[in-house]
Amino acid sequence: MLDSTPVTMLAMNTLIYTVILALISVGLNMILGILRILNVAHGVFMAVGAYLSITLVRFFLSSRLPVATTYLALILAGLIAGVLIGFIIEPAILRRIYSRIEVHQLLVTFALMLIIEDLIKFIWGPQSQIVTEPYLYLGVLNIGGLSYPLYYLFLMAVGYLILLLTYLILNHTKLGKIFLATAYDREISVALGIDVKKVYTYAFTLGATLTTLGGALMSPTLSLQPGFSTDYIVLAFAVVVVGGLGDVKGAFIASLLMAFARALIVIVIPELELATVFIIMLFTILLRPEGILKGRKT
Amino acid sequence: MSLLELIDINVYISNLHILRGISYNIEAGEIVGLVGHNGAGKTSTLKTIIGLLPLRSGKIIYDGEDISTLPVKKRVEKNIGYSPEDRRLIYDLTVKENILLPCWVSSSLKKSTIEKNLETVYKIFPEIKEFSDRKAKYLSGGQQKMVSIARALITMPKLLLLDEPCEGLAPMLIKRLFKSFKEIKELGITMIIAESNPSYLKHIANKIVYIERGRVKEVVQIA
Repeated sequence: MLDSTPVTMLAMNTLIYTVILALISVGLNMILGILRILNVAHGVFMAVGAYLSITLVRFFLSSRLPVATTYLALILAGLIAGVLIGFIIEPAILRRIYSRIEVHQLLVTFALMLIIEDLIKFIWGPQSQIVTEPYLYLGVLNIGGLSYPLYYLFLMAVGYLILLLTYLILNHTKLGKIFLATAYDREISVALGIDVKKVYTYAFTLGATLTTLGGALMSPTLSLQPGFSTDYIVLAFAVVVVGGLGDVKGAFIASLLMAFARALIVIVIPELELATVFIIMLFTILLRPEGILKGRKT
Repeated sequence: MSLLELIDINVYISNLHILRGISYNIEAGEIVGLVGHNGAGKTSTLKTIIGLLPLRSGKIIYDGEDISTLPVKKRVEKNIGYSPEDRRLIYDLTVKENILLPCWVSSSLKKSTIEKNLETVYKIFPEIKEFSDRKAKYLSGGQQKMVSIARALITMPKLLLLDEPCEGLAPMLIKRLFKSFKEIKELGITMIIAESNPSYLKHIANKIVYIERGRVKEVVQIA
């Protein structure tokens, strides 16, 4: 009888990694598509969501609330972090640099990343932060000969639900269509009466919230240390390139592709885990610079 | 009282002096043709009225109020509609969604008014109703022109700015468009139509403003 373990591992790892990558990169790509700004600080938003979720989970537990309520704490922390970041950073900082050259925009968001990173150290300290209760509480599930913590199923259920909601907002609501119009043609959107400043704030907040929710949902599976989000933002940039700059649907499909490639290579040649992702990115830039869903380079 | 008064307006793009002391009045209910060669300043004049280009000096008085420093959104809220030269439809939205975009962001239009306005638009451009669920990217150039005008018309503005609505269209289609302009005028809507070719406008305009190198060369009252 064939051993189904590698297939199960491949499928599960792909699904888990897809949702994590998509939560970060869909938000990043949405901000790029609508605000036309490459937000280097996007990864650190994920860290804010993760750290805040640890604080909120600890608060729930110290208030003697049942462990089951900590799942709500995780989601709440992600939402609070995203809304705070969105409604503070976009109007206070980003709005002032939209008309600046791209190098200035990169430098400002890079500075933001370093500032927030230091603020995290100041608030939560440089030591590792761990909260395992939500992870351990759900126990373990045996699938195809492998033991998977059930927390990952919770992470996937909530993560994919968030992505589905985002898809519905962007494609089937007036707000989503106003986002699309603004991304497509800023000047004509203004001339049609669209309040572009508001659109930018809402779009940035939604993009940031996807990432902070990603961070919050992942926090029980990680030992948080300052700088941990850097790995994820680098991967998210690769996803954004492969999916096509500013293309939200492309970002999701690229997340799936990258997650599958990574999960496969981890089973076959684990040493090439990171290289695989960036080889795909490199070939995308060379052959399909507008993203895998767009036409070939002519 | 004039609906619109442009008083000695001067506009620069970077350091280039684009509009040089433009002045003229437009009465309510008029159709005004703004005629000039490419680069004469027609598009810049319309963009300045809607607020996409800032004034360096001069005044724009609209409906008795100085709107010279008002942001675009406020001008749109004061019932100025704008259809740009190159149509600028949102290609991934349907025709109907493109037309309704200004209504979705208007705080003053009720649902019943929007439905009534949409019916009026469909009456003026019956063709649009047939392809209202099609994505804008699948329309021909002429169809896109109609949708762009319909989008500017949907809020039933007091003043409608149309930039080169006939550019690149076949004579039959131009004739068709001008029939619609007459119907729009019958709704009491004041129009400024920028065109390179004055012959189209002579049968419909009340006044033609000839513009050359950013200056008003001549104003001809027709009727």
